[in-house]
Amino acid sequence: MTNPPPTTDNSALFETQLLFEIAMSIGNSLDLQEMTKTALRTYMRKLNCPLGAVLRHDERRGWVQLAGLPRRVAEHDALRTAHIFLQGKRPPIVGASCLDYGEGEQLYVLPLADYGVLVLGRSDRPMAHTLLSSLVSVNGRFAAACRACERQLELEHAKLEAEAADRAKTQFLANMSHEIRTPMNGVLGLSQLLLRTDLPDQAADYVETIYASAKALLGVIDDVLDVARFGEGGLPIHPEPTDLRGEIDGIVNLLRPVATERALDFSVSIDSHLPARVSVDPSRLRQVLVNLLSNALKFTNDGWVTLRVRCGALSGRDAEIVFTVEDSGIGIQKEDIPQLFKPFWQADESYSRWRSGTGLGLAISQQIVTLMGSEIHVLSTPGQGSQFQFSLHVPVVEDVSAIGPVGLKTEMFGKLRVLVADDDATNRLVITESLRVFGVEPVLVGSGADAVREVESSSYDLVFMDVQMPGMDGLQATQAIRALPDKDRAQVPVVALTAHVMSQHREQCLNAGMTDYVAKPMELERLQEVLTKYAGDKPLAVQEQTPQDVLSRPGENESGDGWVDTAADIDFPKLLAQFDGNEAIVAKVLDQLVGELAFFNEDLKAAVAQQALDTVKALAHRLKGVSANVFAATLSAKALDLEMAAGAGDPDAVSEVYRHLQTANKAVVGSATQWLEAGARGD
Amino acid sequence: MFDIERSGTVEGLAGSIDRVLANCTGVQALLIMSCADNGFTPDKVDPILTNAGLPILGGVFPALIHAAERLERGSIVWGITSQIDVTVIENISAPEGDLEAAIDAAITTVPEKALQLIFVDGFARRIGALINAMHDVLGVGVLTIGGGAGSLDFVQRPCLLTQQGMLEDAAVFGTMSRTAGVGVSHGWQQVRGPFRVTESQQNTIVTLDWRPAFEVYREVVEAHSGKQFTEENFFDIAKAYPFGLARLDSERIIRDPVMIGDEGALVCVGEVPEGEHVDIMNGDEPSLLAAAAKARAIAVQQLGADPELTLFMDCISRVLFLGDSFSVELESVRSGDVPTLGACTIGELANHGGEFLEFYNKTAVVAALAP
Repeated sequence: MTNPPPTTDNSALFETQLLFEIAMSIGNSLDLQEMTKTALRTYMRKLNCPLGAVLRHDERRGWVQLAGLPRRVAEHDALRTAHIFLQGKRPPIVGASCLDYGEGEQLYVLPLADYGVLVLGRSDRPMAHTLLSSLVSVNGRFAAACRACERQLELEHAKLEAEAADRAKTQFLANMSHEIRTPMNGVLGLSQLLLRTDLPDQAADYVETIYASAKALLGVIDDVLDVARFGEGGLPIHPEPTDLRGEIDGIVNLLRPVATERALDFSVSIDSHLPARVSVDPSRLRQVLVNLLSNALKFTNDGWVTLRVRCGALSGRDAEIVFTVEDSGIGIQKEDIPQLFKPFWQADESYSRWRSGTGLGLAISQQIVTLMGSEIHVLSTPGQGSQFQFSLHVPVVEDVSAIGPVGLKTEMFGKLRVLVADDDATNRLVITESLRVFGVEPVLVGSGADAVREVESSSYDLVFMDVQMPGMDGLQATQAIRALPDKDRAQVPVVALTAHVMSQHREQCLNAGMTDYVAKPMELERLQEVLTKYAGDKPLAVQEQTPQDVLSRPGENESGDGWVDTAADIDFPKLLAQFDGNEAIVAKVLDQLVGELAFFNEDLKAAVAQQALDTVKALAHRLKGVSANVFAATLSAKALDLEMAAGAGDPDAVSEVYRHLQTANKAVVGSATQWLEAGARGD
Repeated sequence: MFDIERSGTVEGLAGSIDRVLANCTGVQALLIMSCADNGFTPDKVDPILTNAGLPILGGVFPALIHAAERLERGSIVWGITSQIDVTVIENISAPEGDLEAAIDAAITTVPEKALQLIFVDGFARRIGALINAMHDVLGVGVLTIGGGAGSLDFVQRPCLLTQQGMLEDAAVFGTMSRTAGVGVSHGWQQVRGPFRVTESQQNTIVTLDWRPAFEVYREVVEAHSGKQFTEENFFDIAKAYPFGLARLDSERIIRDPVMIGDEGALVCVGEVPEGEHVDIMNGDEPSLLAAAAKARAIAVQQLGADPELTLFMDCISRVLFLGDSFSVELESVRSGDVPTLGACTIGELANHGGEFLEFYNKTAVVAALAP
């Protein structure tokens, strides 16, 4: 027995109202299960149906239930009745059918267009014909919504598959990168070393060509990998305190031979207000500028190429640096400019053939500049030249100590205790010979486990660690080193030396506790950078080999030269040799030195006056290193004396030594200033 | 076996439970209904509930019903001797909670002739989802009666009585093997409509036919009642003009507007889904009293025999509407010597078989239980 007959009428308006409410519940989600369940529940509620189901016809399985309420409706006689009715039928089912399956019970099978059927059980009086006919129309909407959900599901599957394929591609690139870089390490490293030997001229030419070709090939690989990283989530950008002028000098030195070879006028103009140090990713900035300048040199047949670096507005601790590369080259057609930054696009096939290139450089450069928060703008007139410009907002780095000391001479690393862990014999040879160039005789091991044992049993200043090794790999070995009970040994700098170059590998290395990351092939300049960074700031050689020791043992280094001339305030010949005769760099070093000495002088003066001996000792220690780096032996020796006097806790001795140190300091500043002024006059 | 306790004290409740357990053998569970005015709090009542040693289901309500009497203090304790499985579902308002899975996991078997008693925190936010989940798992074959627990100050606090203690934001239900009949009726008649619910948020109707809900409601109600809404008298007038949600071949589901929300919205007891159509309803004493009697008649008719016990869940807003005449409503449900137990609830829950389990407002729900 059920409730009495309805109190509502069955007017067209009432039916329309119910149908509207049902229609409103359809298609509110793209999840098939959720959408069908919500809509089915509304059908049942509005039409007062105790059970309902959505059945879909599948070519393979026949009629399958997509949704059903209540949950165990499939076990209900009504659904069995529906299945019997549908046996042998397939969509489209035409018209609504009302089946009897029990006393006073009706079972409606309503078509869902060419999708399936909606089954509704009802125990009240039969539904009106008009309502059933209208329901068939509403069901068309329901069927369309079901199909939309299925398309969505297909799209989601396709997306997942595409993402999986993309991940596989990235992994493939990572693996390929490693596989290519490992042998390239051998080719580049050994050819570089070979060039340092006495070769017949013709052989030297061949080796130079091998070296240049290998390097060019490596550049292409790097470009392809960078482009692959676009899809990996962008190129990694790692800002760090950077000497901008130094970077620009390096770039200019790198490209000047090309300009000379092509008989082009290559000029650089740097704003005098350019901050000494800014926070920027130096390698990525170098990549962009080298690319823009290389293109300018490549596409300029005669005339000039200019790099201008201007310092725009300074706001707070940020500076706006505007980089402009301009040339008098062949220019670019207006319609080609929008295409310039697309990967693999080249303005002129014929040009590209004889000018070489992958067509990736500008795309990568634009991507890098975008990641740095800017954009490269292009102005060009065919036949007259082009201008590429971008501006970077970068934080100014105030702390002088944020950057490592200026270049130490190679031989100064002679007493470093360096461990190299690499399972590849060629790699071990390359790194060994490369380190020997800097006077370092490394200890070699072939596995991660051996590396851990070595660090545990002997004291090292620096460890170069290959990442991919059989057994305990470099990451595990580093973690094991970091866990050593001897805290000093556990904290040894570990530099990853690996052919893995994808961004996640860098993160893996750092997460494993490695101090830095260097991609193979590692060139001598980069090796010196690393040695300077991780050993130079702890003046190991200087600590044990004081300036006085150095002075007393001239000719100890491999070259047989003395370190410094005791008679001079600054040994300028040595200083120039340190920088391959580059007077601009020497001038920059001296300029910085004069500023630093003023700083030391003021702080030392205050500390001595206050008899703050710990401060005096620390400042003297730093001054000792700074002066030794520029071959100012006397000043370095006095700084050592002051450090020792302060360490002995003797205020009188400190005052006495400080007076001598001031004299030496003035002499060094005087010599440096004189040298700088002479340079400015063009003497 | 049941016991009526009128002191409203914790000790009185403890004594009532002891009496039921002492005088009745084979008690499987306890149905306990208490008045909100007892002021029961978990720290006082939990020790009694947790130490009873039996499954407990029930709640705290604005008033209780015993025979033709409305109790505003005290408790009713019924010792259920039928086989019954009691389940508690907590945190029902948590949006991420999968109520269907929780109910499905709790209910393993359902007796062929089953009656389900269900009580829910009347101020929980997902009662609609709970009802849907209950239907999706159990279907329509299980007769159901119950209601929303809580007090008339509309403050949510622990109001369900369970073996775990007093709970808030929860539901407790027990499915017992017992032949019964259930009748549902309200007696409200359409005044004007339908109006399309063009915007709603759970239990708040924001707009009707794209206009602020109160603006539409006010036009109809003021014209029909001849009274003017002021800042103070909303519920005095609105209690006679609930909303009705349409169902095919069935009485409308009543939704009780209880206050004016922001920007002319109307806050109701129970959810009003967007896209629904509502009518504005009205009733008078005769129609409401007739409906309560009808609910009982339907229940007894469905049972097909004289009941041993009548359960009566009547909306507290009917009490407020009928005033002194509420006693007539109680008399109309009472039948001779058949004991009648029940509560004045904050929303009623019922499924009389063959229809969707619904959350009602302003409705009389009667269950007639076979011996």
